[in-house]
Formats: sequence, C-alpha cells, structure tokens
Amino acid sequence: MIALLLATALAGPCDDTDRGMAVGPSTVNPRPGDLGSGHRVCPRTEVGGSVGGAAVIDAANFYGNLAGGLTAHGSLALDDKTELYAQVELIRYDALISAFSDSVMGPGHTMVGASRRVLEGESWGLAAHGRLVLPTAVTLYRHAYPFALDAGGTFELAAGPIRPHATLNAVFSFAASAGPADPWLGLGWVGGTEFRAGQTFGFLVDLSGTYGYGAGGLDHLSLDPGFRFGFSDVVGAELGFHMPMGGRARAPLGLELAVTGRWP
Amino acid sequence: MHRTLLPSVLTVLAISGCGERSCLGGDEDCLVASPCEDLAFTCDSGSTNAFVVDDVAQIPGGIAASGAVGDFVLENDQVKVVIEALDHPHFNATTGGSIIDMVVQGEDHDSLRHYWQATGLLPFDYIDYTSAEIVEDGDIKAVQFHGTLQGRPDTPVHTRYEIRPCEPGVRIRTEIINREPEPASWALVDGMYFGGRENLGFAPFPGGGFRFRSFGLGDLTEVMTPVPYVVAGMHTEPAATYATVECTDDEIHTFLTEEIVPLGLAPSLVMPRDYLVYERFLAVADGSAVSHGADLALELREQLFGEPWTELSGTVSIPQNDGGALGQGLRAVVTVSEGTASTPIEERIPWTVAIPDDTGAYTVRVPTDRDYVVEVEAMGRVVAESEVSVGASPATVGDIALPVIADVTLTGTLNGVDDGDEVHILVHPADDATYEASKGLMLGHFEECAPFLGHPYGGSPACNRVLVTEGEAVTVSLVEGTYDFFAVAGPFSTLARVGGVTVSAGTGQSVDLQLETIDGLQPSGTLSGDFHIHARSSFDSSFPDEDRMRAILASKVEVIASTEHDSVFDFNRTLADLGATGEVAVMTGTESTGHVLWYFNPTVTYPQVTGHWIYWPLTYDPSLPYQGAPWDEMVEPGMLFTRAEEAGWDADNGVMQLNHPVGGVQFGRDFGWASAMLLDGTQDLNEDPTSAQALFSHQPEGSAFANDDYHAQEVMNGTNNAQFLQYRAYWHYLLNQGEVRAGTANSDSHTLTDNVVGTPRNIVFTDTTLATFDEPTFNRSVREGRMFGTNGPVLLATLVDDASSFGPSTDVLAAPGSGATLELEVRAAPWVDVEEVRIVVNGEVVETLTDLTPPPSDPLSVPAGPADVLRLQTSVPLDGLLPASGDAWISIEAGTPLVENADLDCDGWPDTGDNNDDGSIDWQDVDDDTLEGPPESGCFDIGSAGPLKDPPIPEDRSSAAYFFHAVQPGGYPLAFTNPFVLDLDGDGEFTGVTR
Repeated sequence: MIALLLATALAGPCDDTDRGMAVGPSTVNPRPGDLGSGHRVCPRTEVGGSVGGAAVIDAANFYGNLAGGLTAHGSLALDDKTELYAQVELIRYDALISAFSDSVMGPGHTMVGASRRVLEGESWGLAAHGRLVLPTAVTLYRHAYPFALDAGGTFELAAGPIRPHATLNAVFSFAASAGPADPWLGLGWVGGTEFRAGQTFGFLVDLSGTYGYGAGGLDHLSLDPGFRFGFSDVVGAELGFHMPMGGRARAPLGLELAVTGRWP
Repeated sequence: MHRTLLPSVLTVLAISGCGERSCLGGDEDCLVASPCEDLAFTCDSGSTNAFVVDDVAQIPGGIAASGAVGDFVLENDQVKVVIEALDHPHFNATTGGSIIDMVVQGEDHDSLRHYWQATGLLPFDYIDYTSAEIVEDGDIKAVQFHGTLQGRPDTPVHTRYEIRPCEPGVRIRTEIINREPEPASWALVDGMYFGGRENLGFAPFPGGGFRFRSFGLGDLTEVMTPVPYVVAGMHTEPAATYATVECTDDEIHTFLTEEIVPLGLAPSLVMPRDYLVYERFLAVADGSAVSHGADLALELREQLFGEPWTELSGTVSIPQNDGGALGQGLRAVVTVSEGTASTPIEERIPWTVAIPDDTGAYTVRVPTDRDYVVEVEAMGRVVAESEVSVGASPATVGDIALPVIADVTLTGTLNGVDDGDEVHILVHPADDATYEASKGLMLGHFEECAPFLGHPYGGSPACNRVLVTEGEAVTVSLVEGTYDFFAVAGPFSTLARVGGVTVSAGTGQSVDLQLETIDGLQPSGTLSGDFHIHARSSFDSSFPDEDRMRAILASKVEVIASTEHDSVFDFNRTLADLGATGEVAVMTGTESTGHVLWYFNPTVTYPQVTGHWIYWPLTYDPSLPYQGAPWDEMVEPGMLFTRAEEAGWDADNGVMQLNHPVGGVQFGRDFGWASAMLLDGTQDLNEDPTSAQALFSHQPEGSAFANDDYHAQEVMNGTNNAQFLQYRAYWHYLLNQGEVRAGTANSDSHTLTDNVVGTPRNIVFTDTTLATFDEPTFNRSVREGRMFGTNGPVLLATLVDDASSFGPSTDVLAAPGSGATLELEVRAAPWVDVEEVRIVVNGEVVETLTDLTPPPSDPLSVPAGPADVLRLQTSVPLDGLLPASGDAWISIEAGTPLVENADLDCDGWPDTGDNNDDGSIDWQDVDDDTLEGPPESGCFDIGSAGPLKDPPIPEDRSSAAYFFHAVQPGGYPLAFTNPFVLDLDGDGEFTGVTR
C-alpha cells in the first residue's frame, strides 16, 4: 500500500497509470455543454455517456425549474498534448413549475471543443482550451437561439494522492433572434483538488463560479464534490454534484453520473 | 458590461433574414408591429380616430361603462374602444393600459368590464405599463404601451391596440421578452373580467360552450383548453357581445369561469432571451346573445384561416293561446352544437347560442359540412332538440315547438292608494311537483330559480322576483303548476300572499297583492338604513340602476349608502328619473374590494388582499377614474383610509365600515379583513410586528390612519344570515379586547335575486329626518352605534340607572348602580315570529327570555294597533348579570334560537355545525369526503372546516315560518342591539374584558 502511494506521489499529471478513472477538474455543470467548466490537461481518446439533472426550487415565489438529460460525449487525442472533444445531449427534459407550468422534451445541445497542453513540468501541466455550444435543442427555443463559447486554461498538479487543479475561463453567449441578442460575458473559474486512493477510487472537491455572466455580479458559486471510480484500464465512472453556495437566488442544484470507455 | 458588448454587430447577426423586429430588439422609440395582417375589411366611408378623452361625453355608456377623462379612445365607423390611461388601473391590473369600455359605434351598451394582459396569476406575472403613446399612420390609428412585468425590469412588454376603418373591433399585439438569466413559464393572455353575475364566457370545444369543470389553482395548466374562439355574452339587454380570435394560430387557449376568462397563448416555457408574441382581434357586436359575437368570430376565421361558414336558420314557436311572448328575457334560447342526437353531451361541440326574436326566428353562422344538434332552452330548462346536417349552403332546421306555458298578470298596491309605490313580488312553487317542473338554470349557470321568470341577475323579472309599480301590471310566464305569490315592503309592513294559484298551460290569470304599512311599528325618531348596496356599476352586478332603485323604493328603506365596488355612483339621478326624489336619502360612497395580491402579512409567505371596506361620503364625478373613488389596491386599511380622505372622504363626518370581516375567499382573495390577517380570536391583540395580532392596529408607513381607525363593522350581512355567527364572534372579540365599534346590518344586495335590499337593515336613532336629511347628523348616529340591526324584530333596549336612561351606543357608561335595569321591548309584524330574547354579556348569553307573546295566528293579518305588534315588554335587573370585576358590555338579541356551531379550526370563530345531525359537532360534520378521522393536532387547518349550520328552512309551505322565509329566502328572524359599554371598574375607561 505504501509503495503504491509512493508510486502515485511520484506520478506526473499525465501518467498512464490513471487507468480508466477520470482526471482533471469536475465537469458537473448544469449549463448546456458544460459551459464554463474546466478541462483536463492530459488528452485522452474516449467515448462515454452520462445522465444528469438539475433543479431550482423557490417555493416562496412559486417557482420550480427541473432539467435533465442523457448525453453522449467523446474525445480524440491528436497527440500527447492536443485533444478534440464533443458532447451531444441526446435527449433533454425541461420543466418550469409556476402558476402556469410547461415542460419540453427533445434533442439537447451540442458542444465541440479543443485543448492543448502548452506548458508542463515534471508534475504539473497547463492546458489552454475552448468550447462552442450550439443551440441544437430546437424544441426548447421558440424564437431566440443562444450560441455560447468559453476560452481559458486549466492547471493541474500531481502531488501524490492529492492533485489540485484550477481553471479560469472567459464565458460568452448571445442569442440569434429577432429579439435582443443580449450578449453575456463573464469570468468563470473552477478550483479544487482530487484525493486518490490508488487507481480505482478518487474523491474530488471543487469550488466553481462565474462572475459577470447572466445577471451580472456573482452569478453563481457552487461546491462541486464528486466520486471517481476506475474499473479497469479503460472504464471509469464519475458521480458528481453541483451544490449552490452563493450568487443569484435561483442557482440550480445538480448531479450527474458519467461512464466512460477509454482507448489507452 | 455584458449588455453593451458588440450589440450592433450581434444585432446584425441576429436579425439577418428574421424580418421586422417590432419592439423585440428593445430599441427606444420602437413601433410595435401591426397585428393581424391577414385581415381586411372594406366599407364605404370608413374612418378612424384616436384621442385622449377630455370630456366625459366622449365616453360610451352601458352596464359596465367605467371610462374617465384622460383615458385613450380608438374608434372607427364601427366601434369605439376606451383604453385606460397609465394612472387609471382597474381590478387585477396594477397600471393602466387595458381595455375598459368597448361598444358598437353610437351605442351605449358597454358590457366589457375589463380586458387586461398578464402572464400568470401571481403578482410578478402582472404587467406594469410605464409609457403610452398614440401612433398614427394614415387611416391606421393605434395606442401602444410599454412596460415590464411587475418588479421585473428585465421582462419588457409591449402592447399595441390598433383600429382600422370598417373593422368590427380592435387588433391587438403583445410582445414579451425574457431578458432574465433564468427560464420562465408564461401564459401570455388577456383576462376578460366579469366579476360574476355578468357576462358568460362561451367557447367551442367538446363538452364546452358554457360548460366548464371546476378546478383548483393547481390545475390551471391542465384546464387551459385550445378553442377556435371565445365569446362573452350578457344575456340581458341592453348589452354587447365580445369575440376574440387569435390571428396567427387557429387556436386560442382558455379556461372558463363565471368570474374571469383568460384567453391567449398556452403556458410556455420561455428560455432566457426568448420571447412570446400574441396577436388577436377583439370584436364587438350589438345584442346580448353569443351568436352576435360568434358570427363575427367565424367571419374573422374565414379571413385568417380560410375556414368556411354558412348560415343556419330556424324558428321556435309557441302554440296558440299561450301568452308567453318570445323575445322577452330567456323565454327561448337556442344552442347549436356539432354532433348528432346520439352524441354524448361531453363530446358535442357547441358553436353558438341564439336568442330568437319576437317572431321566434333566429339565424346563426356555423362551420360548413357538419352535423348539428339544435337544443332549445326555455325558462331555464332544455325542452326540445332537433338535428340538422349542414353542407356548404345555408340550411334550415325548421320549427321547434316550445312547451305551452301560462301567463300571470301581477299587480300590487301599498296602503290601498295608487300613488306610484313599488311592490316587490316573490313567486314560489306551492308544492314539490311544481318546484320540480318549474326550476330552471340559465344556460347551466348562476343560481337555480323556481320558477324561472328571467335572467337571475338582470332587470325585473329576474329569477322568481318581479317589481311592480302601483297602477301598472306586469305579465310573467310560468310553466303549469301551483304557485304562491308573496310581497312585503320591509319589516314594517304587512305581508301579502295569494297562495295556491293553479295555472294551466295556455291560460292567463291575474294576481293582486295588497300591502299595508303597520303604523307605530318603526320606533319614532329613527330612520332605517342599508349601508351596503350594489348595482350595475359594480363589477359583480349587471342589475340596471333603475331596477335597483325601484327595489329600494319597494323595500321602504329610508336611507341608503350607494357602495359600488371600487367606484362611485350617485343614485339621486336615478331617483329623479323615477320621479321619486325625496323618498330615499342617498349617501354616496364606495366599497373597496382588493384584487391585486400583495405581501403584507408577516406570518405568511403568500400574497393576499385586505378584505372589503365601505366608506361614505364620496363625491360622484363621472369624469374621474373610478368616478371619484381612490385607487384602492395593495394597501393596508390604514393607507386605504388615507387615500379615501385624499379622494374627498370626510373622515370627521363620514363613516368607515368593515364589511363581512370573517370568511369567504375567491381566487385567493379574502373577503374579510380578520381572515386576511389570520387573526387568532383565541389570543389577545398585541403589537408584536411579527404577529398577525399586531396587524389590527398597525399604522402603515406614510399613512395618516392606523388599520383600526374605522367606525363600524357589519354584524349582519345578507338576507340569509349565513355568516352571522362569525361576524358576531369577531365583533364580540373586539369588544372584549376593548375595541368598540358600531355594529351594522346590511343587505349587500347585488341584484333583485340574491339578497333582498333593505334586509337586514339598520334602525338608526337620529335627530335628522328624511324630509330634512342631514348626512353628518345621521352619520354621527351611525358612528356612535345608536341603532339596532334587524330583518324583522323591532328591538328596543334601554339601560335605566336611577333617574338616567341610556340607549345602546359606543359611549362608555359609568358602572350602573345596584338597582339598574334593562328595559326591553320587542315588537314585530304579524309574519315575524320572535321566539326568544338573548341578553349577551361579554360575549356570553347570560339570560334567555322565552316568554314572548306569540304572533297572531294569521301572519297576513293587519294589526289594529300597537298592542297587536307588541311581543315583549319587560324589565330585567342588571344585578347578577354583570361580572364581579373588570369592565363589561351588554348586547341584546332577538329572534329565532341560534343553532349551535363549533370552532373546529381553533381560530376563535365558529365554523361548523352538527351537519350530520348526530348530536355532536366533530370532524364528521366537516364537508370533506377525504377525511378519515379528526386532525392529529385536534384542530383543522384554518379555513378547512365547515360548513356552518343555520336554523332549518321550514318545509310546511302553509306555515307562518315559511312565509317569513318566502320573502327573506334563507333567513330567519334576527335582531341585535349595539352594546351598552360599561366602565365597571371605574377607572375612567373601557379596557375590555379580562380573559
């Protein structure tokens, strides 16, 4: 056990002994296409699926918002520094509960992105990444179709079983519409650390937030704990939570379960 | 920062290929796009006009007319529409910008109470318009409004009302954009507000027409039904009918109730930056039947969606020798529904309803190529049905014969002199078989009438009531059977009855009712008054002013307060028109009725209103919004009183009255202030700002008055006394708390059919007279409680202490000596049975007197003198009735023994009677089929217990007790005095009762 821990302590962020278990910051994010999330600094080729949901309950104002969906994701490591990735929300359900309620189910959003590790050391790495989220949830929108993108970077440090990481993003979106485009620009961050017990189990705690996006000011601040599992060299799973701690009153509570198959 | 980044670039990107932006882009000085572009009407000499009203003569008249100087008018050669100025909001809206009046050009038949926009039911779903302007483009005139949802600056709303030449209505477009960062659920609708007892909403859908199912506030999304159009008909003349058709979708979503009909888009999840647009055409037609509006709706749909229609004609006929004329009231109503005779009712689609003319002929428009069932309703009952197949060409359904009925010609006199008195006649079935044969319901709505003489809420004849002027006869139609005819002129007259009149189909009869005023029954030095009366100016009444005044004259009440909901009307004009000036003293006031829900109660998390309040005097000014009343929404009572004073209410010489303080709620809006406060009648009042008990005396910020700065409270409200126990309990509670208010007794009459005006009434001891009426003098007597309330018994009480004597009032009296007595006298007309007198001390009945002289054996007899009306004259020593310590108050009651009721929700007010007659009052008496046992806490949730139980309605139609009930439906003899307030402990003030 000690040897195993020592071996982990000497590992770099991209060591292949991570096996199927997920790496990098938490990606549980109620925003479509995980907008504003961090991204691992180590490219992988993998495919997977996830199911997740988010809820806002504001009983005092007779307001409830539920969203859930089934998502397919995949990535392609072009080399040991560069990765392309994409995510398709196969089906999405949204419900708004108020004096009058409505719900919609249909195809969800599509995200495409890319990252490249631009700086690294023996036990750390810094990657630049960006993503574009497309409004393919055609049943959800009536007249205004939002396009979103983010661009930023993620830093990861492998310090034995403890693997801190941090992400900083610029987040931007606007609507294509006969109505107002209403561009939103803000700053997003994710910061936290992962605790690994070998190669089969990990626990991470992140603090994420955005500022200036949407309503302006502190849009959201949330605690994002997660549990990671590695079942083999190729298969991993992650159960993550998104727990609002601050920001605007109606920040969603979310959770997601993802299963991924990796090409070593 | 984010809203200004690259806006112009993104705007170009956003609108490329998207067409006209209207006001969706949020540009200042934007023009809302012209709606309903697929419509086109042509005519000779069409014209349009748009202006701001500067003279009340520019405002059309009608039952629902409410426009004022400063409002906007759009008109063309066909119609005239009045739209509120921004600072003239009505009813459920918090700003102006809604349609308040709409007529066919040249007519004074406005029947549209209010037509306003909203996105839901909660306060933040209402629209606050902040700017308005008239827009002209040649012959196209429009008024457009800009605003946001209430308290939500990131939800811009834009509405355009547009008029074009030759069109039978107004085009309307509303846009709303969600610029908030989270999704919303909006039902962008217009709300047609009827208030109850006015228009009926009609829509074609399976099992629809006028039929709609009951639902709770949690079912709203499910009950929103897609329909081709919605029509609102009044069914009493003069009236207009209104039809709404959506212009861009062949379905409009709605649900129907008797009070409000929302119509518009289906509830929609609207993501951030997305928007909704709703375009519709609101048409108006002359005439009260749905068919007038439905005809227009089909014409609109043909233009918009290419849906063909054709005409369907027919007749209804009355066999020879039947005098029941067609074209009067609701003698015959024809409903045309898609389907066949074998189609179940719940699957038929009613498309229109017509009222045949006086020849029995009717013509309606219906969609082509369908089968229809034509159903005839007469006297409130479906009496015949026929089938017809309609192709593309006009069709006829032929003649449908109506059942033969009978005529009765009614006359009446008071005191045997034909001097133009009004007589109120009530007709009742004399036996169960006649009841079953004659009962009717107008188009399935409102209240059941037996017999059914006319629209229950229209002018006379209405339901089973008729107003007759001395020297004139009124003929009514009745189905075959045996009837009793009753008349009374208030509590101080005899009761007239002509009973057992058997009418046969095809025959006519005459019935004459003779009344006599009973001299000496009304105490000298008094005036009778009813301080809660409504007519057509109220949102929940379509009772014509003239008939309202005739009913008042028939009741012989001498003083009235005109108290229309949220507006002022001066009945002196109507009195003059009737040539009856001087017969009634009219005090002009208003009843404040909360509509807009808001948050004021620190003990609850949901919005409420603050109950109903009446105050007078106010000056009637038809040029002002609300005709002189203040805007009364979203304020605690103290601020309401302040606004009333600012509007001209005389706080020093006027009266502020709390109405029906407990119970009753409609669409989440409490009728009673005590219920709205959630005041706990088992706990003392206090000043803890977190407690409901403190709301009673709270003084709102900026207000000149506190919530408890009112003078009087209704203890009796309504002819049936249904909630007397609750109002009485609240009055007693306040007296015990040291809060002395005068107790009043009012009818709260809205029509000829609901509460009988003047029943109950106040008998006010006052120095002024009817001939030389001085309102401040009269009001002072009311404020000081120098009166008793009654629906029949005359109840006189005097406290005699040594050489001094005192009547009931709000004055604080010194502790009486040991020899003090209560001198009691009870009088009553022969038809009023007074079974007991109750002496109430500090809220408890301490003595009940039952040794009263029974009424004469003949309730129809004419008393020969004062001795014939005296039921009790006695002296009761006070010694032994009063508590040993603390202060005390005494009130006297007389009439029928009260039925025991319990307080199962533990809020201090009785709510439940022994409804299952098992000898005890418990959870099994509560009207709730889901209950399986008593609540664990021992108390029901507030408002979930009930109902109260009243004294039984007499079944023997020949009994004197039944005669009372016949002229005061649901009522039982009852009178109460205002209190004797006693400073028993001698500390110089009345501080209430030690609990």
